[in-house]
Amino acid sequence: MTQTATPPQTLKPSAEGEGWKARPIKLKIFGNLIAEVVHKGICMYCGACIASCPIDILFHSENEEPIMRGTCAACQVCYYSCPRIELPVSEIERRVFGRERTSEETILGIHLGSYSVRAKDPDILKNAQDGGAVSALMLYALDQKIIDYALVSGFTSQQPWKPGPMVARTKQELVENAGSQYTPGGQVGGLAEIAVPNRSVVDFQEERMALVGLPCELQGFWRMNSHWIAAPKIGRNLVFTIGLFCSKVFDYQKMMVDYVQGERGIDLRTVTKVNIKKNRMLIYTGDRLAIDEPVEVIAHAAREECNICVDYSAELADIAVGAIGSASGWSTVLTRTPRGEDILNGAVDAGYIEMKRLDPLGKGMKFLETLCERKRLRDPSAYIRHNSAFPRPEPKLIPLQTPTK
Amino acid sequence: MATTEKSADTTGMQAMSPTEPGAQTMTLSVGPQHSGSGHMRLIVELDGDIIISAMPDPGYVHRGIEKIIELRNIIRSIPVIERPSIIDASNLNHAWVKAIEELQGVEPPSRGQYLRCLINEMNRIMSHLYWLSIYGVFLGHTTMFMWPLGDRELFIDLAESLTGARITYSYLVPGGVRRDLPKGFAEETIKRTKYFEKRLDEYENIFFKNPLFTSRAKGIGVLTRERAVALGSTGPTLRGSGIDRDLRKDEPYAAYGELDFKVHTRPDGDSYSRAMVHMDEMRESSQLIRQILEKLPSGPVRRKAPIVVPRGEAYARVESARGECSFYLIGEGGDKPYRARYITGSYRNLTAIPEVLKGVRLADMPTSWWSIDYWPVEADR
Amino acid sequence: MAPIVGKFKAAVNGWIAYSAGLRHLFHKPYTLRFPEQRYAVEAGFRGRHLLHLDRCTGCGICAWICPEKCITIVQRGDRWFPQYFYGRCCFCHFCTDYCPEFALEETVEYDIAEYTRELLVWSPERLAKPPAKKDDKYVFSVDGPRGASQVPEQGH
Repeated sequence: MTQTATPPQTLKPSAEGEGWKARPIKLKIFGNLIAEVVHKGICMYCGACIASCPIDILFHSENEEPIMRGTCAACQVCYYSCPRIELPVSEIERRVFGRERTSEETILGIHLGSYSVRAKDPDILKNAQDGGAVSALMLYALDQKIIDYALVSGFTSQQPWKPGPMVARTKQELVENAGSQYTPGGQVGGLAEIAVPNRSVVDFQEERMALVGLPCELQGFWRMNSHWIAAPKIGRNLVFTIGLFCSKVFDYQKMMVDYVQGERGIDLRTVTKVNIKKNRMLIYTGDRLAIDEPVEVIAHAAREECNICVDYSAELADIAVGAIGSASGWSTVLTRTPRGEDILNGAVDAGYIEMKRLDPLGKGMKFLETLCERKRLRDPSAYIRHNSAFPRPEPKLIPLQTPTK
Repeated sequence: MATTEKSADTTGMQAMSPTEPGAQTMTLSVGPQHSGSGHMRLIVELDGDIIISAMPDPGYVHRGIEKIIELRNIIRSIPVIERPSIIDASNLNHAWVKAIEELQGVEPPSRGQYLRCLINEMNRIMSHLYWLSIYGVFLGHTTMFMWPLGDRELFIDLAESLTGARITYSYLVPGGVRRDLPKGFAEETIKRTKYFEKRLDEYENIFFKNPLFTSRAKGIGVLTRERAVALGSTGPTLRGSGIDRDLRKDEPYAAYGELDFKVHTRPDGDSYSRAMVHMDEMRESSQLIRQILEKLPSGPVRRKAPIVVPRGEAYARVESARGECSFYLIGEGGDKPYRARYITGSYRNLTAIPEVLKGVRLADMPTSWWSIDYWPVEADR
Repeated sequence: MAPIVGKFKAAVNGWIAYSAGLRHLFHKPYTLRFPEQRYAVEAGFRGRHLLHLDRCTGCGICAWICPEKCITIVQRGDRWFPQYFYGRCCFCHFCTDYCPEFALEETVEYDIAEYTRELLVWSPERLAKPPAKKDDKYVFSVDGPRGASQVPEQGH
C-alpha cells in the first residue's frame, strides 16, 4: 500500500508545532490493527506490536490481545510490525539465513542438522518438558557470556499458569521457568516491557539477549526487524533465537480455567507440568498424573487464530526444539544457522547436553515431516505475501543551495 | 554581628518605625539587576548601616513552568522542569520522574537507580561549586569566583560523556535513565574525585580559613534552630542551624537506602556554618560518587514506562542541592497531567531571608543572604 | 593574651591563604581560545542531528515528542522527512531516542550558529549531510603536571 499524497493546498506545515500533523495521507494507526487483525480473528498474540510501539503505550492484556493505554501518535510502526498484516518470508529468510529455501526444504525449512538432545544437569531435567534442551542451551550461553539475559516464557501474571515474557539471568530463573505452556504469552512484547534496550543510536555497554518463542512469535520478531516502517531498534541486541515446535495453542480461559480448573476441579496452582503428546493431554500435579485424556476434550479451546499458520517447526529460528522425532525424555533439535550449530556444539563440548544425530530418513524425522506438511498445506493467503506489499518509495530530494559548512 | 541595645521589630512585614524620635529609615531596593542580589529584588529598610527588615521580592524570573507542564506530555516536560535550576538539573528531574513513577506503578531497575544517584551527586557538587563561586565574587574574592567554576569543568566533562550534554542533561526518564555508562568512565571519575578533594583542601586554605572571610561570616546572619524549623527552611540552610534533616537519609529514594554516607550539620546557624555545610556536602558527594561506582549492579538501565498519566494523585520529593524539591501531581488518565504543583528548595527558603538579614550591616548582606543558597530562578519557576 | 593569639592565628591563616593562591600564580590557565583551539567531545555528544534518509519513514514521532516543537515533517515526493528549526532546539535528543528506525543520530557538531534566523531552519537534505570534520583537539584531563588542564587528545 503506497503512501499516495495529495498536494497540501490548505494544510501548510507550520513552524508553530503542528508540523507533525501536516501529512494529509491515510495513516495506519493501532485501530487499524484492531480492525484488520484482532477483530478478523487472526491475531496470534505474538506481541510484536507491543514491542515496537515507540512511545510504549501498548500492553499485554487479559484477553490475549494487545491493548492501548494512552494517546496514539499515528506513527504506523505497530501496524507494519504485525506479521499477520504481511510476512515476506523470502526476505526474512534472506536476512536470517542468507538465502531463500530450496524446494527440498519446503517442509522443514532451511536446516543444517537434526539431533536428539538431552540435558545433563538433573536440576534442568527435573523441570524440563522433554530433554531440557532449551534451558540447557540458554544456561550454556549465559555461563559462557554469549548473552547477558534470556527472554523466556514464565509466569508473570497473577493468574496461575498464564505465561508471559520473563527475563532470566541466572540458572535459578532458567530452571524455574523451564517447561512448556500451551497458551499464548505475547513473548515478543517482553522486548519492550522488561528490558528496554538503549534507545540511543550510540552503543554503550548494551546487553545481549537470546529469545525463546513459538514460530509465530519469531515471525513477529523478524517482521518487526525487516520492514522499513517497522521497528529495527527493538531486538538489535539479539544474539540467537530458539524456536519451539508448535501445532497450535489453546485459549487460557477455555482450557485452563474452564476445563482443567472448572470441570476437572484441579487447582491451577498445584499443576507442575502440562504436556500434549500423541493426541493425549497429560496434566501433572507434583509427581501424580492428574489428567490423562484424549486431546479432543479441549478441542473447543483451540485458538482459531492458529488455523492459518503454516509454520510447525519454527522455520525462522537459529535452533528449533521440540518433542516430536525423538524418544521420550529427549528433545529434537534442528539447527538452522551456523550460529545455532556453534551453540549446540559448544554446549556439547562444555558438557551441558548430550547429543545424538537424528537420521533425516528415520522414523522420527519422517513423523516430524508429516506434521509439518499437515500445517504447510494450509492456505496462508490471508497474510503471507512473498514480495513486499508495502514498498518504500524513493524520495524527491531538493539539492542544497544554501551556503553550509 | 553588632547587636545594639536598640530594639527592632522582628517580623519585617509592616513598615518600620524609626527607633529614635526624629530618626528616619531608608528603603533601599537591591536588585533585580544589582550585582549583589542575583535576579530577584530585596527591599531593604536601613537604619543607618543596619538592616531592620529585608523583604524579598521574587517573581522576576517567573515563567509559568507549572502551566507549561499542563500543556505538555510527561516526556516533553522534562527539559522545562530542569531549567529552573539548570545547575542542579538532575535533582529536579528526579522529583518529576519519581512522581510519575509513583502514579504509574513503574519501578526502575536497580542499575538505573544507581545511575540516578550518580548524576544526582555530580549535580549536587556542580551546584555547590556554582554557589561557592558566586559567594566568592559577592565577597570580592575573585579567585574564589574563578576556581570553583573552573573545577566544575571536571564534572561537566564527566557528565558530558555520560549523558551527552554538558549542563542540560534530561537524563532521567520515567522508568530509568536514558543511557548506560561509557567505557572508561569509572576510572576517570575516580581520578577526578580524588583530585577534586585535594582542590577542596585548597579552597579551605584560601577562603574558608582566610581571616578575611571568617571575620565577615562568623556570627553574621544567625538563623537559630527554632526559627529555622518554624520558618520551614530546608537543605543546607536547615542543616547549618544544627537540624539533622536530609531526605536522602530520612526517606531514602533511588539507591540512597543502600549507600553509606553522613549528613553534615553545623550547630551555629551563622553564615559560616551554612557555608561549611556546603563544603562538607561536596566532600561527602565526592566519596559517594566513588561508592556508587563501586557498588553499581549490572542489568538494564531503563524499564518500559508509557507516556501516560494515570488517574490519581502522587506526591514525590527529593533532596536537591538547595533543599527539598517536590512535585504534587494530579493525573486524569490522558497523556498530559491535570495539575503539577512544583515547589523547590529555594522557594521554601524564602522565609528564611528576612530572618537572616535582620540586624546585619548592609555590607554583610551578601554574606548572609547568599549563604542560604537562594537561587532566584528556582524559586520563581 | 587571647587577642594576641587570635591575631597570630589570623596572620598564619592569612599567609596560608596567600600562598595557596600564589602557588598557582604562574600556572597556565586552561581556557581554550575557541575557535583556534577546539574542544574534542566524545561520540554520543548531543550536538546537531544527522538524518538517514534511507531509514526515515516520516512517522512523525520525532515531531510529536519534541519538547520545543521545532520539528516539522515536510514532503519530498511520496516520502516525508523532518525539518528542524535550531533556533528553538534544546538538543535534548528525545527525537533521536524515540525514533523507531535509527534514522536520527547524534553528531559532535555543535557550532551551527548562523547570522540569520532563516538559515537556522535545516532542511532534511542539510540534516543528511555528514558532520564537517573539525580540528577538535583538546580534552580535559587531571593528569597534567599541575593538575587540571586541557591537553591534546591521543592521536593528535
